[in-house]
Amino acid sequence: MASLAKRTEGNILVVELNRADKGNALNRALQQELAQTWQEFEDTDNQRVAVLQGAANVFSIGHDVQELARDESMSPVPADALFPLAISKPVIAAIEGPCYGLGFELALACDLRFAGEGAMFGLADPNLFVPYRLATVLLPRMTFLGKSLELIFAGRILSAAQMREARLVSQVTAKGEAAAIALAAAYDMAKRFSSARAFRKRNIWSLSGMPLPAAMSLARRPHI
Amino acid sequence: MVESKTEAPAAPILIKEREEGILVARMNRPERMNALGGGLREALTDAWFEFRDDPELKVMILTGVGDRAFCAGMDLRDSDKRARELGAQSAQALLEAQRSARIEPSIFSNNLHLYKPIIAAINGWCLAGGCEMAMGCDLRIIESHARMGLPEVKRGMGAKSTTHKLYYLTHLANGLEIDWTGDPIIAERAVELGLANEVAPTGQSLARAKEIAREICRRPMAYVQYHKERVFQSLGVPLAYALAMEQRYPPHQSEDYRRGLEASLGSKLPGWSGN
Repeated sequence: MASLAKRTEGNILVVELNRADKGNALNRALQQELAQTWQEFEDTDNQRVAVLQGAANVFSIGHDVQELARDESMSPVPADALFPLAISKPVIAAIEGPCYGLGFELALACDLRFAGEGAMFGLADPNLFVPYRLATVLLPRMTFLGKSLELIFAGRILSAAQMREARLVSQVTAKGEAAAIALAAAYDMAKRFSSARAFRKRNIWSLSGMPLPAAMSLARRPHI
Repeated sequence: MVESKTEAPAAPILIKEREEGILVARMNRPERMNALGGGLREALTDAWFEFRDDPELKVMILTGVGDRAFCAGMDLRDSDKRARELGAQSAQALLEAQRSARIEPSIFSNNLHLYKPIIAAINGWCLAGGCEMAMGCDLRIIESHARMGLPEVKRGMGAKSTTHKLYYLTHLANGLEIDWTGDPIIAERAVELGLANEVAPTGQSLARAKEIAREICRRPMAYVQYHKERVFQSLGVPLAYALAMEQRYPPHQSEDYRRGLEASLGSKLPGWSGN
């Protein structure tokens, strides 16, 4: 059984984490499939926007702890392949149910997040001594420093509404509606698709954390 | 000036209590709104070193006695005296004094190089230097009646951390508003702006801070500190470089990594080895 289900709707690629019996835990096979999917998405011209969601109203509980425990020689999929940060097209996460640990980091690495009522977010498992892949870097750039430290130190679990308050999700939808709303937003974005979007997304990321005067002078250039 | 009576067993100016791995430091100068003077500043610095250097201590909580003030900042009465003393010294001595005050690591230097968590339980007025001290902590719980503010601008004085840490905590325009108006900020608004993490009812901030501290203590300390280090070292660094640094995993074969996995599988709490 493929652990990733893919379908296209018009110019939209819908990617679904599909290990419902394991809470869509991100085992190595699934991480590799995701990395490959992002690359194919980038290279397929008529796919303009991607929506990432989880099967059975669960986004992802994070690492596959059983697999980590079985396999001492874990070699993680490189972050720049696993997370769609370097993909030039928009990726929207549609989140229902638990979104924890590595699953939370994956959602953070998407460009927009839509969350159904009842979705739960956090870096959670206080037992796990598995280092974060990008949360410590991305969170303080996305929300308040104090909120970031709260999530990182105290393992705070946030509801969809609290995530909205922290400006980490764009919209809270009715329970079970996140995927449909995300798809509608994706259609809307696909309509406005232009070659400038790749430039804009890359601009945002590459200028993040630059000293302001340097960022301003680089941003004026057509290409960086 | 009333001289403190050394013979009476008066409560110390900073009341310290240890609970498991938690150091609670309560500023006890309520008659001066816990302003930094009369030895409080030195006592806070000592407590900070005690916390930093004791491996048994994992989390520090900073709060004030009473419900009136967390800390009203520098005690101007004291600093006026200090200014007069310094005024009598040579310009060179003044420079030396400033220089040594600036580089000394302490609770007043934003805890940038101390990766153990510090929580401020803001139990009342939290102003000027007191507000800077709270902003230098990692988490802030504010009581519903408490106010935070940087009124220095109204007195023509400067506030050191306001030019950097403030802008990491809140957004640029909000930071400028706080800095330029000098007006006190009510608890709810402080949370909205990112200055505080959450509001607690009057009298409850210390209890709530302890809850969070105990939650943090359940985690392996190496992990907590590693992640604060990662956060602080990636602030203000170009994203691509910060992400590349993030991929330098600490050892995966550590004893605590293995114990954590086993505990996660069995859903029980592990005992950490510290390795």
